[in-house]
Parts: sequence; C-alpha cells; structure tokens
Amino acid sequence: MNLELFIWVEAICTLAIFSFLFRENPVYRLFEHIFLGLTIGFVLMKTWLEVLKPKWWDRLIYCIEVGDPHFWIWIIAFILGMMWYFQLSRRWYWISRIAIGISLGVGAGMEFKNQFMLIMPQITASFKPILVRNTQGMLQFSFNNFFMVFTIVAVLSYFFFSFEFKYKGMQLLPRAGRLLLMISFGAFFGNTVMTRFAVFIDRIQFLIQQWLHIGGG
Amino acid sequence: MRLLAKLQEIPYRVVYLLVLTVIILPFVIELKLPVFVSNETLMAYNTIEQLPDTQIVIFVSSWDAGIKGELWPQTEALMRHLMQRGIKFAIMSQIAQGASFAEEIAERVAKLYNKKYGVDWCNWGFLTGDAAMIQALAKNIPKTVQKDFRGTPLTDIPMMQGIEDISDVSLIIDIDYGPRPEWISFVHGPYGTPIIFGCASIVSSTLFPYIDSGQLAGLLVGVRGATEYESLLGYRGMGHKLIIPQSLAHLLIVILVLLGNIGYLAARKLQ
Repeated sequence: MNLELFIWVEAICTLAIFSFLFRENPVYRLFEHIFLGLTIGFVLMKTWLEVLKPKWWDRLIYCIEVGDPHFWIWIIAFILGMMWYFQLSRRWYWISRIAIGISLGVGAGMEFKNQFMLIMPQITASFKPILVRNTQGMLQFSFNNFFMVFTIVAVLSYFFFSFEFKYKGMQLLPRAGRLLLMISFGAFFGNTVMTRFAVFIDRIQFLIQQWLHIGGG
Repeated sequence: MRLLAKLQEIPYRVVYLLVLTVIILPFVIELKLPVFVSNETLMAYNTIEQLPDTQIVIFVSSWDAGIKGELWPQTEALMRHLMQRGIKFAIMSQIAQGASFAEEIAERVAKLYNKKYGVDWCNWGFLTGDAAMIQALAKNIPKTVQKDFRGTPLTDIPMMQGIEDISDVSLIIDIDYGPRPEWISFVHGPYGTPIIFGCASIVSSTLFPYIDSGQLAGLLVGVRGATEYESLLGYRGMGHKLIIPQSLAHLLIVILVLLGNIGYLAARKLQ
C-alpha cells in the first residue's frame, strides 16, 4: 500500500468519527466498532508476542527442554493466571478470590512503598522558610514561599471537621482555602481544554495539510 | 439588554463553526507567535545537556493514537536532542501501542542524524508489570527485558553490551498521557536516577509538586512543552504547527466565556 492510500484511509476514519459532532449516525457507529475490534486484536497480539510468549511460554519450553527441575514455577504462574477466569462462573467464583487475594496483597505492599517514597519528599518540601535571606530576588522567593505555606494551611483548615470555627476571624481561613481550591480546579479545567484542543487540532492539521494539501505540509 | 441576554444562548453548532474557523485559519495563512520557555522545560533541556555519553537513557513512550497531538511532538523533540548529543537510548512502553509510535519517530530522527539501530538506539518494546517490572528493571536490565522489539536478544545488541542495571542508566524519560509516579518512587527514590516526565496538559497540574520537591528533573506540558523544547533546539516542528491554532482557540474560549457571563448578568437584570 502506498502512503497516499494510507492517508485516505486515515482521513475517512477521522471524518467518520467526527460525524458524531453533527449527530449520532450509523457511519460513526460502524467505525467505532471497527476501532474497538482493531484495538482488542492489536492488544491481544502484542500481549502474546511481546509479553506472554517471550516471558512465559519460551521460558517454560526452555526449562522443559534442558530438564530444569524448576519448570513448575511457570506452570504455577499459568494456574494463577487462569484462576481469574473463574469469575465468570457462579459456582467456582471462590477460586478467583485466591488470585484476587494474592494480587491485592502484593499490590497493597507495593503501593505502601510507592506512596511513602512519593509523598515524604513532598511533605518535607512543603516546609519552606517564609523569609528568604541572602538570595537574589529575595522578595519574590519570600512571597512565593509565604503563599505556598498559606495555601497549605488554608486548604487543610477547610478539610478540618473535628470542631467548628466559631470566631469570624477563624472562619476566614477555611473560606480562603475553598477559594484557593476553586482556583486550582479552574487550572485543572483550563488544562483539560488545552488537551482536548490539542487532540482535535492534530486531526485538523492532518486533514488540511496532509490530506487536502492546503498550506505548508 | 435582551440582545445581550441572548449571548448565553449561542447554539453549540455556531460555537463548533467558530472553533473550526480559528483552528483552520493558521494552517492556511502563516502566523507566528513568540515562544517563551517555561522553567520546567528549561530544566529538562539542561538535564539532557549535562548527561554523560557513557551511560544510556531509558525512553519510556507509553502513549497511543488518542493523545498523538500532544505527545508526538514531545517525543520527537526529546529524541532529536538525545541523538544530537550522541546519547544512546532504549525505547520501551508500558502500553501495547506505545513502542510502535516511538519506533516510527526514532527511525525518522535517526535518518536526520545518521544514527543506527542497535548502536545508537534500540527498542525494548512492550513491558508489562508496572511497579514490579520497574523494580526488576532497576536491578537487572538484561534479565527483565531479554529481547528487543524485533526479537533480537539484548546480549546481541551492541549498545547494550555492559548495561547491567540502573547504575548504567543516566536518565529516565517517561512520555505518557499521565506518566507513572512509580518511576519516581522505585527508581529516583532509592537510586537517585534523574527523571523527566512529558505529559498531556490535562494531568500537568498534578505533576508540578514533583518539580517543586526536586523529584523531577524536568517536565514537558502538552504541546506547549514540545514547542518550547523545539525552540530551545532551534527548529520548528510539529509543536510550532499546533501551538498557534491552539492559542487562537484558547483566546476564542476566553471570549466565549466572557460573552456567556455578560449574557448571564444581562438576563439576571431583566428578571
């Protein structure tokens, strides 16, 4: 297949998916199902060729061929993997729980280590000096640090439910925390718009420049 | 006042048409906008500039067609920089499609710098197992990876000779829709290997704390990060092509939000 044909196929697929912007239609649904089928087939093929075959099947066969007495480890891996599929049976569902239990135990242990290594440096990085001395841009650094520490305290106070903030002055802090949270949600939403546009613009660029050959390629 | 109140009732198809117009326009008429490099992009650039050429870089490329618009230009810019500097790198992916996209980009960039597969770069392909795989990789690279994307044993790849564990790796680059923090906790934490993330803009807000705490050596945010990196390298690539329509589209959204609010206030006054 030449490149031009590839570009035409890609353009038709893109337009078929974009047709949803006008309204739900059979062409969109057809292409949606084609993509789903392609993705599942592709992932299955990749998982077999690049994961299961070299990292499990080939090793099992090799161990059997050379007479390695530890070949049963790979058979246990297979049995454990197969246990997940008992979820599909009401009668034998309990077997899948063994595999789930092992996965949960291993996962929880790793996650504990993961979170500890991730969060601890961030907690220590939160303790910043409010007054920065002997640095160029002392005022800027001091303001940044003060603002960061204030934000942490304000947001934490917003999520403090143990007692009520009765005094008016004290009520200002959780309110400021809520306001700062709203600002951060705004930043999240702005970034969401940015990503959605980038994905859309990439397709438009393809249609305009590579398919229709308008403007600089 | 009634006319103003109607501003909050702009039909969505009119909005689509306006968005489409501002996006198409820069592809037809050439427009240029200045690029200002942000601190997190500059950090990534400086980290690669200071890398020794005696160790390899692990280039994790875990993105697929759905986010190509943001992450293709990032991957290309970083690969260009690595090849320009003569730093050897190994591609790997934690999703099925990722390694194929990275392979395509690496082949294109390799032609520009006259680099060879297996000598200057290689592709380990799809590696599953997340945290467990990352920990195993840090301890023993040949045993964890075994074969490359094309089925060649790692021991037969020239650039992989003498590469045993994480001490032979100078940097980890993870380009992903939402890069995996496991690289930070299981590689940067215990071994101190620097890490650069490239992400979709949508998740960038969650990653900035890692810059502040020194856990990340750089961060590329969406198309903006890619464009900034391209300008640091002195070329106009895919990032530059996409950033202008994106900036115009953002401007349009800001205007529409303002108009919608004016319409809302006018409608309230009418009541």
